[in-house]
Amino acid sequence: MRVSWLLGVCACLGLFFLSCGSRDRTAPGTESIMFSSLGNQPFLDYIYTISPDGSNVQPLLSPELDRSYKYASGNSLRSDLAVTVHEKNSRGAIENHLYTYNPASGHWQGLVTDGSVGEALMSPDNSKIVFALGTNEDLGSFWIIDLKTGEKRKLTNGEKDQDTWHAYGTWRPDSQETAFLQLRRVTGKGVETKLMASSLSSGATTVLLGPEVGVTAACYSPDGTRLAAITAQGLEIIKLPGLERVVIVPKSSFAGSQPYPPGSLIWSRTQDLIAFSLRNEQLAQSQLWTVSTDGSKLRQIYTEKDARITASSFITR
Amino acid sequence: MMIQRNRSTLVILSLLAISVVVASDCKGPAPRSPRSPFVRGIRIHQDEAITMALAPIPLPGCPGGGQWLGQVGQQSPQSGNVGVFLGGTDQYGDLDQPDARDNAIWEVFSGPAKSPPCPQASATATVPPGGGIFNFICHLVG
Repeated sequence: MRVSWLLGVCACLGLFFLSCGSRDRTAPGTESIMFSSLGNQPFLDYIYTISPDGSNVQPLLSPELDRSYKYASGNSLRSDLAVTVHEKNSRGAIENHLYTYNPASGHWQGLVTDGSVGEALMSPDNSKIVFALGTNEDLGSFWIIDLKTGEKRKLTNGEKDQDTWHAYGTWRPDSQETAFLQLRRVTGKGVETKLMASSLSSGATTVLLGPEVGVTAACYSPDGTRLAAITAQGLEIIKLPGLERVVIVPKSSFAGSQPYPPGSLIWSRTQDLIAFSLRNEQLAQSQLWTVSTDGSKLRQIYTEKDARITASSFITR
Repeated sequence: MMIQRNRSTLVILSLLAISVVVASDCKGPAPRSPRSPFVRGIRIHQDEAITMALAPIPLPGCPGGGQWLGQVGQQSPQSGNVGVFLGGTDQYGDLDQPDARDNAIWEVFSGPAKSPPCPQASATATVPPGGGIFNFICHLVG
């Protein structure tokens, strides 16, 4: 009887741990989607992780007094993330600064603590960060910082007038090239976009897609042979280097929502999955969606009211 | 013996029931919005329409500001005491003033941007206790 009692207790405890163990942690090696959620008040900006099936929504970085988190990117929760922190500078003005943050150790390191940093993109090999930086004279350019040497240089030089800025970038998986948007105000029309690519080794910048395409987000496939892009037609796959385009999700499938904000498009390294965000104005709702690379299995996995969701990385837990 | 067996069965079943209850609490339905209420001040957000694409673009470097016009009621405990502010939008199109007085009427403006086509826009509205957001968008696409 004592044996059966002990067996029963063990079975119950086993069931308990099996059930609860899956709450906060997925098995090692599995991916989550990391996304930022910008709120409708100052310092109400979070970084969350969520499983690709929409379960396990977990705040990774939550606001504190006079400090919130506008963007985070990375490859693993066991290595450094690049984080854009919304905080006051030494003069008391509110700015966005660039830090690295290691979720495992809790260690923060300030890299750029003066100016208006936009999204910061950790390279796939964790050696560099590309980040957008704006000043009074420059609406935004991409910079690159080497995490070993601390060397920092402007990545996007060349022809850029005061109405042009660069934002919404992505790394090629070999960490040797970035793609990003060049945005330009056009009198009477609004903003037009070009998709550019910049080689780290040669420094050459090329135009991949012109303003007629209306691209607002792009990301590389895990093998670097294709790009996914949100364009005026919907979600497209673009084969490199020939730039043959296939629409996998037409804009009519967005069901009254529109892609927003720009730059919210990521491609899983281990699964046949792309994630992106939409905004439904009527519902005042931001939505996180996933889809297979052939356009099948389109599904909304998360919604939030009164917030702007940006999918930033598939990340290993 | 029968009583002892029933007792042990009861203990096992009770533990099983407890573990199931605890486990179901652990798993639960996926939270849809785990956002905590941490709110204060005024956020101005400026978008600009885009020529070809489906979505607007957050506009960086756009000047903005606000002027307190009058109190509606008592300020919330989170409220600051700033009655006027100026600044420019960041890379996300946001201009924040967390120390703005809340539960008050504000006139807020955004723009003009450095150059056309985004003209100045303004709005007068009550900022509720805890703060609020003003969204501006340039609709210049035909």
